[in-house]
Amino acid sequence: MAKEKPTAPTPVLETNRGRDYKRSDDNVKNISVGLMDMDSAIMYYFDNVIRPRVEESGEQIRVPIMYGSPERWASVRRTGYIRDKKRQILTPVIMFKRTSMTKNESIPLDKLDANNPKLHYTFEKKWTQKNRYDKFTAQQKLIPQNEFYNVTLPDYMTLTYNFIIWTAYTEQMNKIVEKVNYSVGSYWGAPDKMKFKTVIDSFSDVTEMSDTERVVKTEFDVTLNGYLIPKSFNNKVTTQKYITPKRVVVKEGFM
Amino acid sequence: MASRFLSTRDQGLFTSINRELVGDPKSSAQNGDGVINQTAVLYRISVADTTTNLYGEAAGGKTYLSGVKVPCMISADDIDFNTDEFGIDAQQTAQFWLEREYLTELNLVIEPGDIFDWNYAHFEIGSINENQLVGGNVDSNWSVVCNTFLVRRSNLQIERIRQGVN
Repeated sequence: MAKEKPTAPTPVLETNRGRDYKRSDDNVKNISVGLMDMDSAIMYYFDNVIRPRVEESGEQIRVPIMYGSPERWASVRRTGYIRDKKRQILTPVIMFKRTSMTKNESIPLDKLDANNPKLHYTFEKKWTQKNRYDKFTAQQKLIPQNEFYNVTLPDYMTLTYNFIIWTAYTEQMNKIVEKVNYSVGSYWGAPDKMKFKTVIDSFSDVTEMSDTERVVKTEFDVTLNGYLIPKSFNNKVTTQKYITPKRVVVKEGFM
Repeated sequence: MASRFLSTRDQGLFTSINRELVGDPKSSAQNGDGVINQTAVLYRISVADTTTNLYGEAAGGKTYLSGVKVPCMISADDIDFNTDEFGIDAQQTAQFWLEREYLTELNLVIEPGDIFDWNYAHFEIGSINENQLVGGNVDSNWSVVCNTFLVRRSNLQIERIRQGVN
């Protein structure tokens, strides 16, 4: 009877259980930045900071902004306010969509290994429950503990967005382009969230007279310097808690 | 002007049959209704009251003359649902066929940019074709064919199309 070949043992994850801390009682959020955060930052900035408006029949009209190529039902029902009863788009309207994403080579930082990141940003929590002063601490001569959080270095990315502004008249277009151009170089995003530096190189006018209607459009690309970091990868949270030791014992001896 | 093969009598016959089919709102007979009885309201731009900027556009809004109800034959294409980055966008083209002699009697000259109000929508005239010469006679130019397209209400600026809070 042939001897059975032994199967390889299940690989054991090299984890230091001394560094496993309970996180259920702290209020530090695990940091994560996704593509949707950056898309939302652009949407927020246009809606609430640039706030493009045009004058139409003596009234100020807020120019709606939408993400490109929505589902059919959404384009008719959800954003029905930019269409008339014949389902024809009412101008002005702004559309943007993400067209590309490349690694930002100008920031040569890398986490090296996603399964076991080597580079971290470290920040300290100013007050920690572990560091409360009591008589026991004083009697035992315990040193104050510091609570640190190590966040894995994100991937620095360059995202490109294509914008199309569509208006009925060049005069309306001028007002919108002037406002967008003035915002170039600033950090786009909501005040209490992540902000991203943006650059616009050029605007191209595609105003033309087709067989049917006169189309006044302007296209431009927004380059956004962003970063990506997931909340967890391979069951390991990217924000790790770390507490300094209570006591450092130094003994005499030779190595 | 009558020719050898197209007498004045023949032209009169054509006109009377034409108006009996399409309708003649000027006539009191049968309230001016025709057999086909298709009508549209034509709005002409008031050039004197509409100002343009240096781009040649009336961004401040256009002014139209009072509408004229005209009998015509209308051939509307199917609504084309173009789907691009902006989502669904309806587009439609239509041809309005009018009797040229009828317009002459009304002293009405149609130009590109004028608007037809028909089927709860507005159609802007993109081009005009006056090339139906009966018997090849230039004096018997019979019809005015207007090639139109469904115009965006936001471009028209003649009615409040936006509601609610901006």
